[in-house]
Amino acid sequence: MAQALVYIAAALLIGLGALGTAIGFGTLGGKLLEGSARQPEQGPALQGKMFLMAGLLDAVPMIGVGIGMYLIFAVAPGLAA
Amino acid sequence: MPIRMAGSKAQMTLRSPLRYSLTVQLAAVAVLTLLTLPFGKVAALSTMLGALVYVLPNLYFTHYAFRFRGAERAMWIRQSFLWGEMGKLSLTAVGFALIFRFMEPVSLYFLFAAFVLMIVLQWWLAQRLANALATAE
Repeated sequence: MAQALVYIAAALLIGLGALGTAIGFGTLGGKLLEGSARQPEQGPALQGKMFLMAGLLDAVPMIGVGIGMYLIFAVAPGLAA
Repeated sequence: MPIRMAGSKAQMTLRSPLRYSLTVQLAAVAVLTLLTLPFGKVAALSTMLGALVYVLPNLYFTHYAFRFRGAERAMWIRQSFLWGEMGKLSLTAVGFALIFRFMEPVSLYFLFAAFVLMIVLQWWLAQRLANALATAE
């Protein structure tokens, strides 16, 4: 039972993190297209800003993935024994 | 002379963001590993792996992020960012899975501390790249 709960926790951690990143990237990509269409000369600058924002956006989900993997591969097997 | 050097450095940053990121991040991995060596072999190895598990997927992402340039290719840039991000998350998951499955013992504190430090370094690097791209206009 405890092992199943740990797996569910890891799935929620990774899944919700990925969902947040997907929403953020969708918004970022949409704004890039919009900005590039309005001011094409700003294209490279917008690409650089998008790269910066992508780094900020995926920081928390990346840590979530790390903790999720720790739960799956280190915590859960110990609970089974 | 110093102005020309600064200019050429910025040009190098722009010409190959991947190589620039690779150089800075691998140097940071080496420095972090050396700094944690006094804490023991496990701590140093955990630090190195924690940093590498961020650096390698991030290089994949950087490669995809700067595959295309120019406003007329904005659609491809967006698509490329999405592919890069998907690959980055997947590679990070695989990296952590391999560490927790096959590395024994591992120091969690050093592993995650190095991982978070590399994230912060990436923010600084991305800021530099963004500035270089903005001033290249």
